[in-house]
Amino acid sequence: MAEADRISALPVDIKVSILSRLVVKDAVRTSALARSWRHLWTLLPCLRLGYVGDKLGVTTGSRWLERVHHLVSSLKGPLVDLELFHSGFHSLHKNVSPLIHRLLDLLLQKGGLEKLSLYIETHGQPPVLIHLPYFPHLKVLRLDCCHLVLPAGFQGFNRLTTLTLKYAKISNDDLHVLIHTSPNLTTLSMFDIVPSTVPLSLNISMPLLKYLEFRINVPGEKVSVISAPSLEEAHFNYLRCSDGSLNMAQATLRLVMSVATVSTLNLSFDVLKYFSLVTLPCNFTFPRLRCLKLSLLINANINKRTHDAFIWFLRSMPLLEELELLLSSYTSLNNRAAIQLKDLLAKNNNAFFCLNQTLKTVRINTGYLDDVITGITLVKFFLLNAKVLKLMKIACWESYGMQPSFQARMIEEMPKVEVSSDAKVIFEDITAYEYYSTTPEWFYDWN
Amino acid sequence: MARSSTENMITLMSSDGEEFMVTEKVARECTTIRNMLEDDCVITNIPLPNVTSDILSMVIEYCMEHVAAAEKAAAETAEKGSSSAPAAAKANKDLEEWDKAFMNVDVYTLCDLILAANYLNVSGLLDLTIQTAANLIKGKSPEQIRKTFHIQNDLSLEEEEKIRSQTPWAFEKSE
Repeated sequence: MAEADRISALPVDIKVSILSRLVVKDAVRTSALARSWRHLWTLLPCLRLGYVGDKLGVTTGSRWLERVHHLVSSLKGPLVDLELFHSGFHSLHKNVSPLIHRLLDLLLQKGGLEKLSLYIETHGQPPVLIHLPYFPHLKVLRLDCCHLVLPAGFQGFNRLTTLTLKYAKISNDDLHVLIHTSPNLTTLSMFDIVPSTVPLSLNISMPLLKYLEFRINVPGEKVSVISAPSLEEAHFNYLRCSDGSLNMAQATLRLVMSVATVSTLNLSFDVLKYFSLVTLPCNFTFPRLRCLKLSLLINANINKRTHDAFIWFLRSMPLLEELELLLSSYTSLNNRAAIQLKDLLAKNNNAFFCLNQTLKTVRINTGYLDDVITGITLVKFFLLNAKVLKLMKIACWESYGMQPSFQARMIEEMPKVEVSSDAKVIFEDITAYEYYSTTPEWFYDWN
Repeated sequence: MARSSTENMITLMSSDGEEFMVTEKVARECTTIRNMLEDDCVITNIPLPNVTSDILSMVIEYCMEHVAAAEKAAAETAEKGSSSAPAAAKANKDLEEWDKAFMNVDVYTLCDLILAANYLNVSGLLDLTIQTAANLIKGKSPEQIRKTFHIQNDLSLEEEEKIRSQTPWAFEKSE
């Protein structure tokens, strides 16, 4: 007697949700199981298709896009969520725009698309997305390596809540129109936008925005926040655009002060260097800030004003609970600078409300640090002065290996460190592995 | 774990007439039951005609384990002011291990659990069972999947050949 087939008897929506946990190749393969499974995968509401090209000529970019097209056109149900990730068009030098147009055209006919994520790496021109502005239901849009051009009279994406642009090409005017005609945007991320002709320049005025993240890469680029009353998190990074000018320093201070009401602030650039050039307003506060991530890119030019800027941050954040310091240095810092920092911190510690009342977690990330002394100075300072500290994390890149082991030095120092709270000290080994282990499985599925 | 004597007890009755006494908190893990309780708060006896006693006892075991884990985490947070990250990570890992061991069942039980979790709307259990079923399909050939789930192949050779030729890439061996 044949044993009972229970899985085929499950309701269709449950079987579809089982298939949606699989990579596309596995899901499509179930079409050959039995008659009742034949078209099941065509009801998938979400497709994630990836290709990471490391071999020449295995699947050319255009063949890959044709396969995507075939797959999307086979779907019988509505496609709600589409993610395409294609890296390494080695064999594709021609323009892929026509294929992308055809695909977007098909998606437009099918309708109902709510989430779209495109990463299409080409060796030639990035694909121009002319159909994109006509998707009315989009809630989430992520564009990577694409060229976006808005038509005249663009009406905006009424339902869009999340917009991510990475290495995307878009003009300043179009970018302004795009974000200001999408009234429900709550999350905006921009990484290294490629401006059409002039450097990126954007004024943000968005009533519902909660999360703002950007990285700019070219000197002269500027993002200003005019009004964002709902903003909760801000992450700023200037990659290679520090021109060291007073102008830039003033603009940076204005930017940081314009987001003073956030609860999380991440400044992954050498903000202290900029702040050492300008007069910082006394008695300024970040009234709701609980989590600060600050990069201390220490170079040979560290001076008292850099330290003053660091102290300004600590003093102006009375509710700070979590502090992460990312240290890295180009050249070994001398003893004198570390002693200076220690003196300054010690002299000022009574002025830091957060140290006595709120600061619970400190993470010192030593990154490429070869400056052991400053790292140790900071660890000691927080262990001694943060009265309610619960957790001190010391993250080091041990496998970097060329520098004296920070962890070994720190462990040697620990018994001598005075501790005023019951804080736990944890060492974290950040190895290169951490940076490469996050690639999702489906990226490689469809080679 | 100590329970306060004032805690409400609910009786769940399986399709084969067996009765299970559980705390209201455990019963509320099932969204379907939670909704019933919210509509009618004096209800104490709930018949579940779609769930057999074997499966119902497993669903209750799952809910009790997850309620206990959540209570433990809450108690630790209350005691120390904040939960320490490493302790929380360990508790999560323990619960994951428990889930994994709990999923060591045959495919019939798995399918019944999926149906029960769906009917009772226990989102954690539904997620766990569906993922377990997906893992049994992952990376396998159609023959292997049929064997695992006892699926009868009612396709003719020609039909199967045609299906395979429409998406040949899906049937290529992974490198």
